[in-house]
Amino acid sequence: MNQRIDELLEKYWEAESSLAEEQELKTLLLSAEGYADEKALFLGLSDFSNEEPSLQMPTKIIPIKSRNWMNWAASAAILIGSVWGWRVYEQKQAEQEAYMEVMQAFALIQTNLSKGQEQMTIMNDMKYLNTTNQLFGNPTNK
Amino acid sequence: MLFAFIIKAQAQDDAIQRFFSKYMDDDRFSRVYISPKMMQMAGGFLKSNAGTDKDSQDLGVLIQKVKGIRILSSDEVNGLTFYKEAMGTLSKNKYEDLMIVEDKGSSLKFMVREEGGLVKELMMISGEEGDFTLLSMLGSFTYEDLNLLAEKTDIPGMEMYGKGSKGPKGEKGPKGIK
Repeated sequence: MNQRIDELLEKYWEAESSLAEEQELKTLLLSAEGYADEKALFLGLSDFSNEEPSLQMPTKIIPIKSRNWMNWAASAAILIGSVWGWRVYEQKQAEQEAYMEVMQAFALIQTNLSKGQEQMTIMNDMKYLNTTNQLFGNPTNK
Repeated sequence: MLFAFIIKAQAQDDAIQRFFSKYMDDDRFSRVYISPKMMQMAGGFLKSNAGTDKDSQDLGVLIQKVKGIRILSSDEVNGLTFYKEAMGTLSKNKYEDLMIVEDKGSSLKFMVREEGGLVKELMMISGEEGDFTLLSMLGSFTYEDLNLLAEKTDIPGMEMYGKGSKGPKGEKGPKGIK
């Protein structure tokens, strides 16, 4: 048995042993006499691996200040700003439409007033109809 | 006597209103009513968008003086028939003729109603074959203001509709405004 243990130890230190051989080595060491250093190493490692980790999460709770009111305030500010902007835009649009509507009516009046003015221009031109007579005289008067 | 005068004036207003109301639901007619509020809004738009030149200022003053505009128009009726009907509705002693243009197939009349030396209403009635327009502009303005309206063709925004003797030959206005 000791010979087998020596072989396995030699392979272990040469880093050539398999997992099965390592397990076999541990089993043999448990029942063998001597090999105090090897037992301390292999069985100690086993003890460590069997131990449950004793790490614990910190239990102290650090209170984080709630900032919900800031989110609400920002949302409300954005909402109010948007509504106000939209109202201003709508007001401008309505004013422009009203202006165009008024200009349309004014243009209608202007167009028709110009009809009368055109007629007046024609009448004004008629004064030149007698210009020939003024220049050359009226033959019937001679 | 004053009471009778008030009744007569009221009756005249009612006559015009009746004429507008009579064809309010007639699909052949387009109706436009520019309220005092709209005039106010148009003035606000002009103030905030137009320049500070004299033309814009004059137009702003004119818009302030106009209280409202009503337009009734159609291009689907015999305008001469409606022209005669409208003329029959109006009592002539209330309105003074400002300008009459009579052609073979068309009639156009501008009338004014004066109070205290100021024009309180400008009425325009035009009728021809297939076209009728009745316009009433209420307010308190002078003949100089009307002259401004007749002559000024470079009013901001009017170039779209301007068809005056001195103005650019623009496109025809939207339906209902001819």
